[in-house]
Amino acid sequence: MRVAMNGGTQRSRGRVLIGKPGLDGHTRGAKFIAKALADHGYEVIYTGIRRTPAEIATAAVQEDVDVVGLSLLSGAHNTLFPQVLAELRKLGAADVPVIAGGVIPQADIPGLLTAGITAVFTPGAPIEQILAAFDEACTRRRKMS
Amino acid sequence: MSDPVPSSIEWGTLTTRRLGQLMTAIEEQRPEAADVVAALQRQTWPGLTVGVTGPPGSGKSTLISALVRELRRRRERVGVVAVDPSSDRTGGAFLGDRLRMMEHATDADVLVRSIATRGHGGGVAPAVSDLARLLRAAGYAWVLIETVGAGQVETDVVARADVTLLVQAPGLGDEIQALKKGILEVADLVVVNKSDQPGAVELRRQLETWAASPERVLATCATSGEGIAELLQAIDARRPERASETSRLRARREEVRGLALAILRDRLDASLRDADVTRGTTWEAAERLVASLRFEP
Amino acid sequence: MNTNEDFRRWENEILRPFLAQAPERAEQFATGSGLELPRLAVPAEPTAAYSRDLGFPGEFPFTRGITPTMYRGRLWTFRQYAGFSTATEANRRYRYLLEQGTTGLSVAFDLPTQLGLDSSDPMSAGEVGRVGVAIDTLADMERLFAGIPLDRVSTSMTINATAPILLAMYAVVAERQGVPIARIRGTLQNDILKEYIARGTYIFPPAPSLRLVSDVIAWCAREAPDFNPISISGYHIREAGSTAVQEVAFTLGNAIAYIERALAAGQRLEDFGPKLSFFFCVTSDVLEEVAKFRAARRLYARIIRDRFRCDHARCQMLRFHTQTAGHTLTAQQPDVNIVRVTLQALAAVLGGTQSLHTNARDEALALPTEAAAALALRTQQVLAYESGLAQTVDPLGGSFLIEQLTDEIERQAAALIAEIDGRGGMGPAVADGWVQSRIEEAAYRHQCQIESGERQIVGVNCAVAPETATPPVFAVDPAVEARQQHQLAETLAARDAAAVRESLARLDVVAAGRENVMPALLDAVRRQATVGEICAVLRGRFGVHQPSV
Repeated sequence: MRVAMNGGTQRSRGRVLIGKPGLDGHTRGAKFIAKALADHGYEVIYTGIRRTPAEIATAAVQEDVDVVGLSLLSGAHNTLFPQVLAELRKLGAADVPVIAGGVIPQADIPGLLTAGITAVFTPGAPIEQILAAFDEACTRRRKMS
Repeated sequence: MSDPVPSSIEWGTLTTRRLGQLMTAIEEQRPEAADVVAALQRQTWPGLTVGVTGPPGSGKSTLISALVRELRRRRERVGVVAVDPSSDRTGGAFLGDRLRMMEHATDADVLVRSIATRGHGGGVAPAVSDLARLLRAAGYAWVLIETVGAGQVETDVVARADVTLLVQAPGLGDEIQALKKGILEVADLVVVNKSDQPGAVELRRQLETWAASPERVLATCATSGEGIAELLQAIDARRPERASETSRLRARREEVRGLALAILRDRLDASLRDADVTRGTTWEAAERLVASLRFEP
Repeated sequence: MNTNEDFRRWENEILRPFLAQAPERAEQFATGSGLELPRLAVPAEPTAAYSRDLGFPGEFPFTRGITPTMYRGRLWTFRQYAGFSTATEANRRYRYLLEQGTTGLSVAFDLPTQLGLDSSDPMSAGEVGRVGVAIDTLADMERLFAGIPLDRVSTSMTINATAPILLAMYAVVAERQGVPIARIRGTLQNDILKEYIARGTYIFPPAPSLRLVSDVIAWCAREAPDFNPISISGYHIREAGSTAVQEVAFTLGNAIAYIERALAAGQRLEDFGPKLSFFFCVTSDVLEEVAKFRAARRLYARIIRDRFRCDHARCQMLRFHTQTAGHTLTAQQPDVNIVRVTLQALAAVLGGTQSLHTNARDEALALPTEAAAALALRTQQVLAYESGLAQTVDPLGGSFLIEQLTDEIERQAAALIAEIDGRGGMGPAVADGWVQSRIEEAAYRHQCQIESGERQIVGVNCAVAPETATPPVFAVDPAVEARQQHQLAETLAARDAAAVRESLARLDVVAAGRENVMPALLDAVRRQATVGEICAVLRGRFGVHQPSV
């Protein structure tokens, strides 16, 4: 079967998963980012609230996304973000970059970056910066593979 | 996807990670997937592919989630492919069906994959068929495919399944009228979901009239689980191996026809870009265009 | 009757009897330079529209305020939402706030408590004591209120899915202090519909959840008449990105749903109506916000009178708490947040709020530090004692612009409620995600306006300054989780396990039937059953809600 891919429609930039680990139910930020990414040309899979790190990692692997985005406002980021990374490793997906956002104190950011989070955004970060981070992470990963 | 695909693939031992990557390669029709697709198409894999379509608000995702629950109770492994439209302008898509299936999120025997209709130029239906083959080869004996029954692309997708369900629900108004023409013909079973809501009985009666044979129409309430076991039974009864030789041949012919159309549409689009459409009437231009298509492989 | 006659009637029939019961704070009120401030400025030229749409404070349609004297009689309550980590630490913070002049307590619970999970549950990992205090058993609740006499404070509890359990614990703590349950005062948020819409801390499906709400309303009306059994909240709807009109319409839409549910359970609006309270958000959009509060009061009064055919003034009165809008705070130049909060508080006071929480400047960064929380309270005190706003009723009433905006918000909100009615009410409109989608659209529009620069935010897309040193932020001690789990283990070891089992079995029977759950809950918490154990029983009976959007 050889059907060319560009039947006049635009290809997507890549696939991303937006996950909300932890227990907080504040979806405004996560949904805005998800919609903005879709408008920017990504296929976006949204997990909904209260997902465990294992659920997020499993979904990311089944969907074979290029980037995982995490949003958390409850303050449990130091516990849960590294857990998502660990679950991804367990599934052989350590190469999938993870970008995080939420109410995260500046003091916690270096630790999260060291743990393997690609980028961390706090409230008020301009959307262009966030989209650029996804673009960069996605491009880098696609080049690697 | 960097690893070359081995000539003989141990389908049953593929990790979720590898399956996920293979699905991407198939979906994007990457050159390295060609051998995989060829291998997948060479045989019929055990299992059953069920297409589920219906208008927004009919509760398809919730119905699929309930079907998965019932299948898991029977210890079946299940794959779900959820197809959502993508934007022609940006190529992006918001794929939200997975959200309603999260109760199976960490069940190792349930694999959910979201697919956007983008960039396939009529090729999404063949891609989804191949994804279903891959899942069945990997041991997911039941594959459920979900689409929003809006356009031709979506209808093409589910029409290729072994069994096709059309989901309806009371209170959706004119949607039924719109769907009546196309999809009702390809649907093997018509499901009246949300059967606990007002208007369900009338809707069922109406659909029974349209569907020619009333036994094709079933009622479910996905949120309470009512009618789900009966629905599975009805699906089971329509397995292709139970079907006659002629209807199997018809299904095969239907699939080849779909693939051929996809190829044609793609070549047509390509030729149309360079065609001179200004000369003569539009009818003449169209005839010239068809005549100009090259048919060598 | 012209306005002047009407004014005299109001003075005689409404104001005088009220003053006899509740005198004003001073004999005379004046500006700083000594100009006399009237209680209520009214138009010199009487019109029929004035009487119909504005009227006088303390009577239908309550546009100008719910009492005839408003803040001249009693200032709004300074109610700061707080509560951290463990009960012991939160207790220390409450005592500090009470010493600083807070007049009402407000308890924030951590997410495991809000979702019916014990601190030892794997799902609670990293969340214990984060956004509020962790409560597993009655023992925690006793530590939380140690040394705080519950007949002397009013306590607001931000709790929804597990509200009946926490209310039962609060009542038992009072009982053990020797305070009769009938004397407890406060407010329970207990607004489950907005959890499905915006805040996300739901557990059970809508139908059994509404039954729990109704049970609490009925129990309070009977046993704890000074406790507000519900605080119907637009706050989180607005924070999720709704417009001001949507905030009013969806909040009042939810109120209609609760009232209908309670009426269907055989309760009388005259009994529970006066105890329904509300909770709104206030942004920096001062004029729109003032108009919003006035429109909400008038629309609610009209709904109670016309839809529910109820003429009880106390049922028609929309009493509300306000919190400044968290989503408007920025991480950039956080000190600027102090100015935003001041503007927002100003709008809330001009709009006639009954109580107010002012956010701290560092809330976009983390939970507030003690110093930032104190400054937020000072903001309210300046408004109350120095601004002169509390010396007269509805100071902006009669402004051409404010009245026009008030009319428009009421008109649009009423139209939206009619649309909700057409969809079968808030229950179905929430269940199929329609309400959520409307809010998401508004939120997306709002954010796109910020990104494009059409909507200017100081420090974000204009007046941007290079990042300076970040202020100190409040850090929750990571050892809190282990400490709380240890305390839970001690409580579990010390309790009578058989008695707990027995009380949970009884709760199971009650949950399966139609009896009010509160007595069974009181019994279970007295025996130190945990929040998680109680919710496990209820989950078994009610099931778990699966979101669709």
